[in-house]
Amino acid sequence: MENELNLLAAEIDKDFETATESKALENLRIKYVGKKGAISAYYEKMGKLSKEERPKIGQLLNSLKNKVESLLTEKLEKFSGNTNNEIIDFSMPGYKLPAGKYHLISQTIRRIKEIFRTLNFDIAEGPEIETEYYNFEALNFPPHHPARDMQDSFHIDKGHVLRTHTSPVQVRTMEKCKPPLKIISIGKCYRNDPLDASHLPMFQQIEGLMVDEDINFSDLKGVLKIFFSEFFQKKTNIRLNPSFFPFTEPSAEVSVTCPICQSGCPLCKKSGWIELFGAGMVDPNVFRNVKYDSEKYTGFAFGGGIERLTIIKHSINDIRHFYENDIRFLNQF
Amino acid sequence: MKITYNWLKEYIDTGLSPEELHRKLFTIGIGVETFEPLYTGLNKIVIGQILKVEKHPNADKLTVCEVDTGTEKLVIVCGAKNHKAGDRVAVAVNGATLPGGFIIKKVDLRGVESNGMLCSEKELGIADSANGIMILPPDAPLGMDFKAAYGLNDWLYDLEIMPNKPEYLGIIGIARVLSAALNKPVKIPEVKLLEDNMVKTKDLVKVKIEAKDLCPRYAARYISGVQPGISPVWMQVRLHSVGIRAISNIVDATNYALIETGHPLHAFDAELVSERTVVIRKASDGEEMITLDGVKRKLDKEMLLITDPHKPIALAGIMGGQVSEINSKTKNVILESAYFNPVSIRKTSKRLVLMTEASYRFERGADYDGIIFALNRTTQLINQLAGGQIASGLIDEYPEKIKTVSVTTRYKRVNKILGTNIPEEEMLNICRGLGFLPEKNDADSFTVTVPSFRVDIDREIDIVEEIAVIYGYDKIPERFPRIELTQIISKPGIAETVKNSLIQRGLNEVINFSFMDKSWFDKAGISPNNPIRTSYVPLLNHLIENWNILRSSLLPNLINNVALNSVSHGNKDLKLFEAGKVFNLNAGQYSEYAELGIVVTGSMGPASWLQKQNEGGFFFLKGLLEGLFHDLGLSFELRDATNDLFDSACAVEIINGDDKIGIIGELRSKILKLQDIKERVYYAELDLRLLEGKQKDKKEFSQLPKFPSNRRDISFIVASDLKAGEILSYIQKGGFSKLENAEIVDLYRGDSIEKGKKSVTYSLTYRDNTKTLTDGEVDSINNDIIQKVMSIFSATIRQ
Ligand SMILES: [Zn+2]
Repeated sequence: MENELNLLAAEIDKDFETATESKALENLRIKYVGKKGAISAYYEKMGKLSKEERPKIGQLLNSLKNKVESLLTEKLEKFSGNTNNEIIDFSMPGYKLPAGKYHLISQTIRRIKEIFRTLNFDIAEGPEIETEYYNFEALNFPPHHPARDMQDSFHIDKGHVLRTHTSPVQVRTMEKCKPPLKIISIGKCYRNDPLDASHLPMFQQIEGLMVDEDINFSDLKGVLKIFFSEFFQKKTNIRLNPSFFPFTEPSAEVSVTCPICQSGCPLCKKSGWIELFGAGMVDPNVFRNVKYDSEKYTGFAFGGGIERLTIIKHSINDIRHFYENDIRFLNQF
Repeated sequence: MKITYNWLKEYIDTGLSPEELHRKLFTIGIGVETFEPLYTGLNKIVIGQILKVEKHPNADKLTVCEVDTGTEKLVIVCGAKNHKAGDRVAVAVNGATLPGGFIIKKVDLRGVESNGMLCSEKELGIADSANGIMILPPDAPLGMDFKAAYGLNDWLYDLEIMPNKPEYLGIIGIARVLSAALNKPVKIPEVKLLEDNMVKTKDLVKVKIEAKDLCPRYAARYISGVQPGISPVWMQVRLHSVGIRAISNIVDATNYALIETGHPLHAFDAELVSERTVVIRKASDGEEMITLDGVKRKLDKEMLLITDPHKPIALAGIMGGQVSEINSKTKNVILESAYFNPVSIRKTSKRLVLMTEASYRFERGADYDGIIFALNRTTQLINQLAGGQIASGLIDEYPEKIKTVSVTTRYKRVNKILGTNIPEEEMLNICRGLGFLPEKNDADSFTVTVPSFRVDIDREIDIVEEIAVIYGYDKIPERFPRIELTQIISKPGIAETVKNSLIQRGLNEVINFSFMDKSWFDKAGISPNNPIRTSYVPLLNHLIENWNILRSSLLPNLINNVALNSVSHGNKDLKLFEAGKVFNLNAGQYSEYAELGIVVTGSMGPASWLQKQNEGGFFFLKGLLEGLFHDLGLSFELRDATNDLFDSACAVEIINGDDKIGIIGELRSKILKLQDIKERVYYAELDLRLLEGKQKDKKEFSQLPKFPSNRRDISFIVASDLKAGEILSYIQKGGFSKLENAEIVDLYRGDSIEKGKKSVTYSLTYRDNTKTLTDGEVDSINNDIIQKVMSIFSATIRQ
């Protein structure tokens, strides 16, 4: 009987292959699984089999029956309804929905805000036309100190400049709020630089400030490490080298392990490190200017260029792309 | 500031390789902009001796030399004239390379085979010019590799010195901090002067400080009988390596001392200083002098001068005067080493736009005690290079001693700020290493006396930083501070909602520079009383010519964006917006506030085989605004307007409540033509400041209807110039019961409509929240509306 069933299986395959319409399927249903169909007939013969043969043949019959039923469903689906349709050419392009995009710089800013929000940093803002006091004096830049040469400012009038950094927001926020304080500020800054592959007269900066009773340099390192790891979406080590900013002391340049390479690439000038932020402990003179008690409170501040972060993240070779607004550039991200 | 590995090595044996030193400099706060090996193009140059010089048989201008290189005797043809038998010279032998990729090969020069080249300073790349070949001193080691003999196997470090660290503007200062960081001794050059006891400086030179506030200390020496000339090779190489041009031995000596000690000195030709009397005084207004660079400078009464009884001889701390310059005939030298007030030097340097190596250092603060060492060291170098007799003693005018600074530091404070556990003894050791001479006070604190070369230190926090740097930032642990919520300062502004809404609707955000060109107003035909023109904020200074004011409107930059994409790149379908600040000046007050600018041109959506291209135009832009206002939970009305920006047929104001909050329309072709834009461009602008705070952040839930609605469409035929919205507004506000919603669904003008008329179709939805309305009930209200509209607006019904 086993042989007969194998032959039957072959016949089923052949029958279904040649069936091209639903009527033929109905005939096949009757032929095999109808009340008087071939498979049903074998079921009836089961009783005559030996005890040993029965389970094996039973299994074979079941599988044949299942096979016919599933072929019936499958083919029926194929024939029903769609009988008059052409087969679709799926290689044609799909419908195009309009898609708007945030400017790449906005994307970076949104990502940074998101990271710092999860760290419970609040967001503070300040004006772009800033007084010399907030931009310089309050941040411990003495009036005739060479430190002022670090930033070439656009002057609006005798007392006003376009802010050269977001740091004035630190001062404005501390004047308004008592510690503890945990803020970031992001915005446009201006320096009277030429416009070339590595300079922009307008750029955007992120500034961070945390003040409390027990904030120290190692907290600064911790927060920066978490931020950069989140930003680059990989474990990132940081390295701080001593530096100078009038409004922090000790001050540091912050480098991160190159997110692109393992052992040196053009981006990191083969050093494996990329300098990204400036940072440090808030200078007691700044605290004095906002009437914070620098014996009781300590704090750290950090800051860096949004464009630079973006360049590193997306391997962009010319900073001028950002504000040209060529949609061929904007649509890439 | 440039230094070389070999030069630094004279003052400290760091035990570090050039690469290790590179990294170490960073860790102590000295940034290295470039680090590179020097003279890599120079190879196989040996010191040789000319044995014989003969005339070239076939060329008058050439000589044929026999040269001993220590290992062989070579015949070399030479075109120079300044050499003779017995001279030691630098010989490029066969296979040698010179800077610029020049390779020396055996060559036939007019019938004589030449086996190498006798080199000049210029050919060796150690000077910018040369007269003939370089003649080495007679004791130059014969046969030795030239680079090895003169220290050319070296590495250059171009350093970035922070403005608070003038100490690092001299190699000795760098050696000192490395000494503290590496715990290795500094080797300060020993200065022993052979003074002529017969003549005393104070008898020969008179110094009078009249401006004590600007010149607290002035020291000088006198050297007679010097012989100006070219510096020896080692000096030329040193200076050239760090980018200083060798000039003459006396000037080179002061430059060498500048790099070494960080202190700028000045040498005067004593015969050109009247009565050998130096007077340090302020200039008088309008006084003039010609500085070394040949420029006549007009001075004012705040500038400090070095003068003799008759004339200015130097602009103090900035640049010498031409009149007393060291020259080839100089015999006697007055050497100045002084300390000037940093602010004064800076102001003068800024005012005259004259920054020099000297002013750069003085304005950062010189080492007021170090000037004596610098004076003696430079005297020694001049004596060594140019000979002469050193008059005994020195003049040191120092009317009021500058107070040394002492700073008290608490051990606990150091660790509190750094998050470290640095032991007390280690802190003291670090301070000792830096030359701070710490004294223990009690169990809690210590006091240091700050050496004169550390002008940046006068507070406890400065000491904390010094300890942190030498201890090593790398060793400070990372800790994550507790992050509980402190306080909420910020409110989410409207700009984010606006951006989000427009991006969801398929617009691209752009960000432009905040600048614009004020001449655009004229070119674009913006009338003088247009608000964007009346109150712009000018920039006092700007490098880029046509960015001369802060933008008073987003439009000019957005047009640039259209031009770049459409005209330059052929992307004609653009939907761009910018939400950014514009700037105003009104009655002496600056204001800056966020505006939204939207610019659309070309078709509304993407093109594909499934999608027909539809020109966007005004109603696309209006639709965007409707969507935006829906998202904000606000509404707006439109009103006819006239505006310089828009074509008169399509210029509209946007009203919210009582405020005019923006404009919308089709840009005038005059504006577009400025940028060669030929397409039609539509622009909308909103003053986000006026919407700030009005948006509904919290939307209230309204019950979903339980009973079905009934809809009736009515087409009215009305006069062409009647605004369809007027009827809609009448229907909406007419108080008709059960009317849930009314909207305009079609506008038709065509053959079946009488000329001067148009057909507008309104769709009205009726609903009762308590029951299902019957057709009869709906018809009754609907007819009422029809009758009223017909009579009020002289409308008829289109069947
Ligand atoms: Zn890399």
